[in-house]
Amino acid sequence: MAKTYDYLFKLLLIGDSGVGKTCILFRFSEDAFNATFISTIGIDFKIRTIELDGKKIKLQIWDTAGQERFRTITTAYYRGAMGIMLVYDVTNEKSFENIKNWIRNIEEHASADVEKMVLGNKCDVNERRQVSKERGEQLAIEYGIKFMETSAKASINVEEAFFALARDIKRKMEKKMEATNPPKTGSHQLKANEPTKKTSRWFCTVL
Amino acid sequence: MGDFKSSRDKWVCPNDRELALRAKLKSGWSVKTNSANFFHKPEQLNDSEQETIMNVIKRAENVELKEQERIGRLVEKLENMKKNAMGNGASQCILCADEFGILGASPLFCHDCNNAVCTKCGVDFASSQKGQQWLCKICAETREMWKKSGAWFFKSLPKYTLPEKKTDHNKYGGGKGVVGAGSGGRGLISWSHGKAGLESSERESTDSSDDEVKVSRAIRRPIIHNVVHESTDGSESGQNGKTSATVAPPDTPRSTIVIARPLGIERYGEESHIEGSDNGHSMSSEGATANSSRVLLDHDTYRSVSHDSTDHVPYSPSHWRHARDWSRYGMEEEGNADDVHTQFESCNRQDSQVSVVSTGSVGSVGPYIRYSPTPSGYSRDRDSVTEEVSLDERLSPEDTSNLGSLEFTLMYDPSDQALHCTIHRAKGLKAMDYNGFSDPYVKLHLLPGASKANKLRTRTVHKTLNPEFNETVSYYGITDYEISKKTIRLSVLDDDIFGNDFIGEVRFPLKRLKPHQSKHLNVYLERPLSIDRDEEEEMERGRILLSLMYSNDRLGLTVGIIKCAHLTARDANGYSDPFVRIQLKPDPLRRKYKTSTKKKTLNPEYNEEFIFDIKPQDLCKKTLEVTIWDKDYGKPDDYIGGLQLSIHSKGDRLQHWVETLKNPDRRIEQWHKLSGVLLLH
Repeated sequence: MAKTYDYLFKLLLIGDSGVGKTCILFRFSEDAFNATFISTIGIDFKIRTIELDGKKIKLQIWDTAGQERFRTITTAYYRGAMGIMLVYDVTNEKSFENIKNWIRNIEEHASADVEKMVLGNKCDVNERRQVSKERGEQLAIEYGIKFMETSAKASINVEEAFFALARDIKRKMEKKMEATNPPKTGSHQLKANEPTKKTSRWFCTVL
Repeated sequence: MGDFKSSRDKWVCPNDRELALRAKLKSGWSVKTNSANFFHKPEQLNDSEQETIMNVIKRAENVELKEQERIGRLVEKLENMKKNAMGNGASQCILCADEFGILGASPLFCHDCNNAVCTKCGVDFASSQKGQQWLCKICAETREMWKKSGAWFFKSLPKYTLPEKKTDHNKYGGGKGVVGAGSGGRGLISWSHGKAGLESSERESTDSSDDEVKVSRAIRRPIIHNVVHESTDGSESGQNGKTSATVAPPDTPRSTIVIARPLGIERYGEESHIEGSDNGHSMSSEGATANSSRVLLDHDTYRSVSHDSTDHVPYSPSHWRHARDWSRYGMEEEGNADDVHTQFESCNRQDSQVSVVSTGSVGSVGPYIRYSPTPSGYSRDRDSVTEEVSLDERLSPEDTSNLGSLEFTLMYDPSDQALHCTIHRAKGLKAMDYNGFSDPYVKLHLLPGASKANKLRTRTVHKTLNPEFNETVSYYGITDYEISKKTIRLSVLDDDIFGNDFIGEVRFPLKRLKPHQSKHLNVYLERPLSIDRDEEEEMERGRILLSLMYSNDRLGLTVGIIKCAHLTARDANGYSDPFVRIQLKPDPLRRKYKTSTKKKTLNPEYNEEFIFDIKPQDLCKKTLEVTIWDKDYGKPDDYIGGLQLSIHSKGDRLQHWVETLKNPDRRIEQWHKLSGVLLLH
């Protein structure tokens, strides 16, 4: 049976190095887990087709390297993403604090309409936990983003997270297309506004 | 971060600031400037890393190419629809050109394009803000395409590859179909021009030269047409050609431009053509376009034309001479390629009043359908794979009731997952109207599961019993599975303002089609079976209450068949003797479980449980198949209905399955509707 799909959603995984982005993706795409740490080189992607409300949705999920030295490459992929998973490691305080920086990164480089979601990975490792679930939820509320604690190793919430993100994107799409096709001039203006916004923000970070 | 290992950096004389920094870092003096500079410049990647990334990018590009082809097909489909639109949108339905009169139904107005549509060609959708609204099929399709292509997100249609031709239009200004405006700057300008000409459609020429005006006049509906090609007008395409030469020269692998276009987004703004392989610039591919359209166009003169991409100008029918001049002009003047294209399309439209076989649908989706001198001699020609299959099959009339006959051709193209149906003509139809004629049209459905979604129709030919349709309609996204299962139904109806009269129908099981081979049929119409029986059957097969539980201790899936309700009666006494069969597939052991048979009931209660021993990681790859049968003695059991649960299921079924997988040791009960599709065993 040949593969067809109705929609193609492009998702992106970002977060500090070693939080388990690749493992989450590996769990979702292959339903497997590998405990050895292999740092992602630059970028990678995996594809999985899911079905939501009877529509086949092909998810092209981009996995990025958390390492600083690949930043130029990885940020180039922000713009094409319809949904972004921000991943931190519940056993690593620093990775959680960095989520704010990652969000700032998104605001800078990604499309304004991008759907976001925060994942606290490695939630199976409770003995070494440094970030409580409440703090994760608090952060998510603060930024108005969905939040889930996941474990790629124990296969907790990985499927759910991707389905939720895909569902959010789909909902946004339907809302957008239903919203009586906005006049093109309007959206054009919106587009024109974006760069100015961006530059001003960019200035802030430089200073 | 900041490890100083990079070997590719050149030794550079450090500046004061760097020297100061080195002192702070205590990294010694033998540090390469570049790597110490990590605050400003990321470290260079080594060769193997570069290669890895390159591979990923190449992989992504393949995905992207496939996606472009897919979007190309969507665009193609939409363009065909637009080309096939025949009405003026004011006093006639924009699509099927049915007149709205005092007697006729009042027109509906498309929410997006404000053109009038009839109820047949309109699609109603419920908007959360404004209640029910109508869209013409074109606008509905446009919306759908915006969703499917991702244009809804990126605010403009991404780059796409028209099937077969490998011509790449990247910005597709016409955002909202007929009244949509271009989102890109250029598209916007040219479109606003086109919009101005909407009222004075017959005169409008947009920004093209005089020659085009002449052709435009000949077209009945240039408005739609212009929208399609507005963004690819001459001045731009000139740039197209040039840019493509610089950005992606034909023999340079495209992947050399690293990171320049991740996810293909950056490309949206870029003016480039994807070269198929040897098409050095846009001209040659346009030439190919021209050729494909020509092949199709000659059909009403029944001339067989050779398909030859080196010869660009061999036209003889008079209305083609004009286009020929243009093609010559186009060949010399680089940059007018798309104008030429437009010309061909225009002429095609002119022709398409007779034949709605459009450049798009047939020419693009692979095989071109060629008409040879006799209507029955029918051949197909593929551009790249030059296999020539000629197949002529005339079915002998079985039932000589005077309903008439229908001549049509079916062709399934698995590579594009398209089913092309060319409706040639009908003969000797039964008269339905008091004037002794009918106003026939052909409606197509795929059975089972006939619904508005898979309905296609030809236009109506008025006041005739021997209509010539010569129209190709296509189903896209048809899978091999569907081909093996579905039947196409072609119904001939009499278009009537007071409801349509059924004249007759033909059914053809698609499994009899061989891939890539045209099946030409000329068959007598049969009396209509009750029209909506299939749909009703889909609805009313009954329901089943299932419970599922995965037990971690036992390593098994427990399937509980609790009860069924409202099953279809299969026996003459108005009842069935139902039993349920379950299977977890694929299963090398072919384990099957059966419940007991409950006699003479449509609402049996079983309360039976079965256990499949299976590891959790295997379970998610399996499909649970539940089928309900009517036990018959002495003859095969009758199928009542069934369902499949797997991660590929839909809606409630998927939910039930996923819930079960996610919540081991919890029993989850859910009602399911039975589907009528006979599952494979």
